[in-house]
Amino acid sequence: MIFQPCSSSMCLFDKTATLPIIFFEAFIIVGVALSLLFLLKIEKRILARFFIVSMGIFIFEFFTHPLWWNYKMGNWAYVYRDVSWLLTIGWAALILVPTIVIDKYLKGLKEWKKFLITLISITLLGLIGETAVVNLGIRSYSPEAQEVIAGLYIPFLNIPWAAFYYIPVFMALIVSFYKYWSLVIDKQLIIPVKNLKLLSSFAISALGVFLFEIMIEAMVTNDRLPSWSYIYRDVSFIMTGGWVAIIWASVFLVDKLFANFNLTAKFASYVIVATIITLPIEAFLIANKFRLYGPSATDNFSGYHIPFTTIPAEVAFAIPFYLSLIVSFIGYWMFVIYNKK
Amino acid sequence: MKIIKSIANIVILLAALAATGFVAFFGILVMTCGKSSAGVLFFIPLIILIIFFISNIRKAIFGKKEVVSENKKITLDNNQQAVLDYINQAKNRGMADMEITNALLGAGWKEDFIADIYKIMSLK
Repeated sequence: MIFQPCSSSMCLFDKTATLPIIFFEAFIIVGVALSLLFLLKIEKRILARFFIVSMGIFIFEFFTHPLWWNYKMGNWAYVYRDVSWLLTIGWAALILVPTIVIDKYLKGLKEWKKFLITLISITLLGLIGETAVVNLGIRSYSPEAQEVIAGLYIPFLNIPWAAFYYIPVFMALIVSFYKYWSLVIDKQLIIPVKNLKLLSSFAISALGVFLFEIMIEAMVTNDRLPSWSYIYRDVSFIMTGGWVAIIWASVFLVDKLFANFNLTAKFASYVIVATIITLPIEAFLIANKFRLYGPSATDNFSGYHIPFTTIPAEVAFAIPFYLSLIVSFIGYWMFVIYNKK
Repeated sequence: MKIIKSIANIVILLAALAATGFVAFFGILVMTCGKSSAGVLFFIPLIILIIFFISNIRKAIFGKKEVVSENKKITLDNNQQAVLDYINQAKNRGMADMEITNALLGAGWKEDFIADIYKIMSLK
């Protein structure tokens, strides 16, 4: 048998749903259905939008799931390891409703203002959602995440203070991912750009990668780098700067050489080019122990590697998924900059 | 030219196969975990997305237009193609030529280059 059934603790966790959790799941399904019915009345192509947001959340959950555990939701609720489709569609509705309502009714505002209002709204809703899943016993945190949380929880809510950081960062990435693809859904007129604004595109790339790296730093340790290069825990500006440079260069290269590409072809090209550059570098860093995946991540590995490399299959999948979120963040904000008028 | 196109087609086909294989492997990994087969919810759309992405890239590379007049055949480069597509789309949305030109100037295109594209468009 080529594929052995998964036997890691990431698969064999407690999936038995309690009655309150089953009610919560029913609440999610009803809530999602009502949200979609409401949105259908105020905006077109809602199912496509819902699908995009769900994909963005799934991509995020897929490669960060070793950090945040979702247990006790019942066998029916899981898609991959402890990633639950029920939570995915729940988050998707929670993000989509405020985003569309704000886009629709605050049309006159500048894009960054709308984005900020959206982010604040969905962060507040996200904190409520996080409180619900934690207190129902669905959500718990891996030892690596707990080390970062350092026992600092918000009284009565029982969620970590760190949620004020990771929820808005998560939301900012998903909203940007949605906004990038909504340009495609809405068949938005995109002006071709002769020369990419180097400084602003680099700043956006750096911001996206840096915020994301801090959020997921507990998953992997950057080791054996010069001590002066570490800026926060094991986040090294050499490593993070390297990722920024690769992603930014990929965007620059594709935009420069393929100005005629539509948004879909550009997105795919950004991801493909950046993945081709990143994979061998990641292989080198893993083989030479510059990057050490934490126990929660390695416990999740199936044992399969990319042929002729030391890259675990899960890391190889995570790279294009991670890049998908980052390049759409960059692509969307570059669109905002170039289409101000 | 035909040889280059054939080679590019083969490369794209191989990339599509690799990407689909990659996702198929992921799908099997998903399904070997636990008893749930809900993985298909994301696994099948992912394969469809890969095919969609690849076909888009292929279209963008090979969909180049050639503008033919009575005695001239012009193959557009990527930049010319991008600006020509933009002008066509903007016109279809009712934008005036002046407005389109100003937008393109703002995006860094030179006046002569834009004028050339309008000239090419008038050849059709």
